[in-house]
Amino acid sequence: MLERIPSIRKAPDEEYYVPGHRTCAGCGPALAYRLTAKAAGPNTIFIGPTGCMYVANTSYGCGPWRVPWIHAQITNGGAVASGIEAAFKVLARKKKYQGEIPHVIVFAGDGGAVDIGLQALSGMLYRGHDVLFICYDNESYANTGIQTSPTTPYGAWTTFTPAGPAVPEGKKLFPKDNPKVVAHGHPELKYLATASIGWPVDLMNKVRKGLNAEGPAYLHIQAPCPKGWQFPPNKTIEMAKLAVQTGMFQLYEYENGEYKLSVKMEERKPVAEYLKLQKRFAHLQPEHIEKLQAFVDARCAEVGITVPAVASAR
Amino acid sequence: MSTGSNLFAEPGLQQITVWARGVVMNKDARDIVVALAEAAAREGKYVQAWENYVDLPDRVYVPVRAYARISTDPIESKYIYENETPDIIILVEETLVKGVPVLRGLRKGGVLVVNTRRSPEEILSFLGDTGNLETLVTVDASSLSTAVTTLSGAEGATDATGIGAGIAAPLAGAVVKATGIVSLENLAAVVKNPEAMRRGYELARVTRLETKGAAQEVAVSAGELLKQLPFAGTVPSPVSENEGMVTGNWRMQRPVLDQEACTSCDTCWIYCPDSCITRTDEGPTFNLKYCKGCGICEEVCPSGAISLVPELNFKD
Repeated sequence: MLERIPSIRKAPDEEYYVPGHRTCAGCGPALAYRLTAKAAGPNTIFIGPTGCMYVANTSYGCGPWRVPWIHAQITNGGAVASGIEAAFKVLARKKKYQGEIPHVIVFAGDGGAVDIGLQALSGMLYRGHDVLFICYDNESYANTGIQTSPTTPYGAWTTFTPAGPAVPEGKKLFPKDNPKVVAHGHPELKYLATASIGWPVDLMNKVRKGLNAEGPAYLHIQAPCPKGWQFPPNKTIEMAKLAVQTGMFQLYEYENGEYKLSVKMEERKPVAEYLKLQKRFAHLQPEHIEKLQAFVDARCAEVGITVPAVASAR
Repeated sequence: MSTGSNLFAEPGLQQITVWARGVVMNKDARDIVVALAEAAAREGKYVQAWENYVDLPDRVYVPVRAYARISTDPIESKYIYENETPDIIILVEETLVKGVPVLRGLRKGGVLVVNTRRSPEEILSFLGDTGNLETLVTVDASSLSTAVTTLSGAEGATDATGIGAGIAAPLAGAVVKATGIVSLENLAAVVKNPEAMRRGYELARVTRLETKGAAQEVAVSAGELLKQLPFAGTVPSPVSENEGMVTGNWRMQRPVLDQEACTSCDTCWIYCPDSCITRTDEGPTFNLKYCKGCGICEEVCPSGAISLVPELNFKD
C-alpha cells in the first residue's frame, strides 16, 4: 500500500521523471507526469499513448523515465495496459514471476483518453483490469499544433475552431465530460477522481489511492498548456488554480454515486477572470462569456459546489 | 550520409538560416525567410522558404530554425532538407549565441545578424571560434517592433496575420544593410511594417571581422541523425538525467536565489515541470544544464526569494 503524503515537505525526494525532455517551458502535463511518477514510485510501468507526453518526451530515441515506459497508439492505451496487467497476473499464478506486481499506469492525453482512445479505456474499465488510467487534459490536440478536442472548452480558439465573422465564439460545442462518462457505465470501476497540478499533494494522493484500489481506476488531471491556451509559461500554476477557483474545472472524488469535493471554497471567481488571461479566449464577447458562466454554474451545482460566482473587489 | 558542401556548390545560391525560440518567436522566424524570399522573387530570383521539420512541433522556448534559399539560377539542391552550409544566419533572440551551435557550417564570408542591445564585442565573447564569420550585425529589433506570438500560419494552419508585422521586419532590414541580398523597396513591398523595416536598416550596426579561415564543422544532417536512432525496440532508462535531451540552451532567463529571503518551503521544488530543483538545507538549487527558464519557480515563490536574470549576464 502506498501511504498518504501529508504535505509538500513530506513528499518523497526521489524523481522517476527526470530532467531532459522536449516539453514546452512551463508545460503543465510534464508537471503532472513528474508528480504522478513521484507518487507511484519505482515499481511502475507507464503506457504512453501518442500525444505530447509521448512525442515531446521521447525525441529523439531517448526518454526521461527511470521506470519502464512503453508507447501505445493513441487509440489503444487501455488495451496495451490490459495486456500488461493480465500477463503479470498469469505469470504470477504460474510462479514464473515472483516479485511484487508493478503499478500499471496509462498516461494519456485528452485525445488518447476522451476521444480516439475512449473505446480502449472503456474496455479496460469494463473488464476490470487493475490499471490506473490517467488523462492529462490540456484541452486540445496540442502535439500536432493545437486542434480542437472534445475537452476543448466552449469559446476557445484552436486551429480547427478559429473565431471569425461566421462563428464569432470560436468553438461552439460544450466539452465532453469524461469523468461522467467513466463513472456511470463501468460497474468494475474502483476509484474515480479529478485532480489539478495546482494542488500537487492532492494530485499525488489521488494517484496513490487509484493505485491502491484493487481494480481499475480513472484519474482526470487538468494540466494547462502555455502553447495552446496562449499564456506566458511562468503562469501555468496560476491558470491551474484559477480553473478550479472559477469552477471551470471541479476537483472531486466520486464514490458510491456521490461527489466528494476536494477543495473547500468560500466563493467562486467569475469565469471571466480565468478567460481574460488566455489568448485563446481573447475574441469572446460578453454574451459568450455569459453562456459559458451559465454552463459552469450548472456543472458546479451538479457536483455540489454551491457557492456563487462573485467578482473580486477591485 | 553527409551531403557535404558539394551539393550546395551552386555559384548563384545563398542559404539563409534563421534561429528563434519556439512558439513565442516562431512566427517571426518564418516571416523573415518568407519576406526575404518573396522580395527576391520580385527580382526574378529562384527562391525557397520553409521551416525545419526536425524542430517541429515547436515547444515554448526550444531553439527552432527557418530556412530560405535565394538563387540567380534554378535551385538544384532544392530537395536537400536543411541548409547545411548557410551564408547568412539570423538570430531572432540574443541568448541563442550561448550553447546553440548557430555558426555550424557557415560559409566563407558569412554574415551573422543578432537581435540585441548588447555590443558586438559582448556578442562575440559568447561565440568562441567564429571561423568563417566575416560580418556581424547587431540591431535592437525588439525596440522597433513587438514579436508576433500566434499559432496562425503554424504547421500548415492558415496565416491570417500577414508577413512581417513584428520583429521580422527590422531584422530583415538589417540583413539587407549588411548583404544587399534584396532591394529595400522590394522588401518594403512585402512586409506589413515597412517603417520598422527601414528603422532596422538604419540602426543596424555592421562590424567587419577578420575571418579565421577555419571552415566550421558541417551541421549534422537529418539523415545522419536518423541513422543514429534506434529503430523501435528498447533504449535504456536514464539514471538521474536524460543526457539525450539537454535543454539548458532553451533558457533566456536564469533563476537566482536570495538565500536570506528563502524560507525553504519547497513550493518551487514541487512545481518545477522539469525536475530541475533540488531541495537542500540551504534552500533550492537549480539544475542549469536542463532548466528551460520557464519562470514558474519565481512566480510561485511566496517570499519573493527567486528572481530571473537575463542569461547573457552570466559568462558560464
